[in-house]
Amino acid sequence: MSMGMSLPGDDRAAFADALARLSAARHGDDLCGPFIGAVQVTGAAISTLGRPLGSETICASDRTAARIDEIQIDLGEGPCWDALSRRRPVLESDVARTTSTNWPNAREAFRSLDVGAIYSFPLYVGELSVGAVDLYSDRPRDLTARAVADVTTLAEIASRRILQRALDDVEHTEDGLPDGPHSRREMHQASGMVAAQLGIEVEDALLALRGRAYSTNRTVAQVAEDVVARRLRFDV
Amino acid sequence: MSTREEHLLRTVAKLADSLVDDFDIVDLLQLLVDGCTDIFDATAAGILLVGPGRQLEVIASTSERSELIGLLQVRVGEGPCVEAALTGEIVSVPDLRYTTDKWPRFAVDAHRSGYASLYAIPMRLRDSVIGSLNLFRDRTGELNRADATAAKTLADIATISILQQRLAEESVVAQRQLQRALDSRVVIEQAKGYIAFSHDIDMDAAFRLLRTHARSSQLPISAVSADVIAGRLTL
Repeated sequence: MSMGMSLPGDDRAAFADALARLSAARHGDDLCGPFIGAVQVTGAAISTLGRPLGSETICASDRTAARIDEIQIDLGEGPCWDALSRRRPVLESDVARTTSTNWPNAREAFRSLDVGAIYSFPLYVGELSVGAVDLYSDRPRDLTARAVADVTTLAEIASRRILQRALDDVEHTEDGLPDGPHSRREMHQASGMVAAQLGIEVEDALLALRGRAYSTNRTVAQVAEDVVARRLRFDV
Repeated sequence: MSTREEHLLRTVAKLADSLVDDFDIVDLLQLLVDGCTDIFDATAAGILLVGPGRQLEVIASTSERSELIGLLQVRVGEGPCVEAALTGEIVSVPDLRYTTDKWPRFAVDAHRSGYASLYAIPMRLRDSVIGSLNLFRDRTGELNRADATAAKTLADIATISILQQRLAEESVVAQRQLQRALDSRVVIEQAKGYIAFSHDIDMDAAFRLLRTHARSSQLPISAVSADVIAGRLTL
């Protein structure tokens, strides 16, 4: 069965394959791959956003996809946030030339990534917000209505999978946040350190971290890493 | 438009309101049974809902007559109303005199009740059967087609509303649990950082300090963590 190579008459096979992979996905299985195979995009990233699951990237097919989500989580703005709050996909066929005025900082940051198109689809189960799946194409490109429908269907399945995993884990909190390639655990640790350094609330410490990242044009993860490694202190 | 049709449309509209606004289930079901006896060829109506553990409960009826309640068969646990609620299939009894073989205990109550026929409509949405809407008539014979169809429609709307409300309630509970779990995990990481700085130790050592204190005071690590970053506790 085709795994991402599209041949004439084959496109439903790719979708069916993606559907099957997502439906069968077990704890730890990659949820990003099926989206790429289904609609022939260059890459995909999935993140949980806001309440109640927290903002964290779950999977990313490549560095660019990971950056697309990291930028939006660091800045707290972007097409994925809009897609989730509106419960509708946000489709930027040519992100460099977008007329959207909704996320100016994210748009600026995307320029450095050199991506053509970004498509953000919301992840939610009823009233419960899960996050978003961001697909990108290295060249500007429109998504067909059929592709939008397909991704929407896949997104519904992914939403339930992610929610179910989270519910399964709801009792296991004593070990703190899990580690992983996209984990923001260090950011929270750094918030605690800065809170102790400055004698402020952790929420304010987190704002200080984000502000420092923004003003020095670095990622929150980089600033957090420096704080935890004792290379950066906020009280001097 | 006939008054029956007007009444039917009004009842449909009122039931449909429950799809968008908050509502009380008992009020909704009372509206349904009252509507049924007003609009349809039915003398009385009652609703059974299946509760957790599959026990049945009479939630609404048009009459407090014990005969009606008994006929809803919760007490004896058998009969057309129970069957519809448990199987999800319509059960039609055009003559309540001839039920002795199938439901012997029910037949006793049926004989005493004074009702002549019964039409039991399951309240279901796909695989979920939540109960039954039961129409009692004082004449024998099948319920006419038009009434049967319309009654099923009303039952379907009520069923969707109830299922939707239950789902919304479950969702609220899930959201709260997930948020609490997230907050607990985050505060542990924050406390690790706090202690790592204030004690000049690494994250693992900080976590061990938290865990030791949590065990000795028999508290969750997240609670100890919250106290640490709030300044209520110095380790």
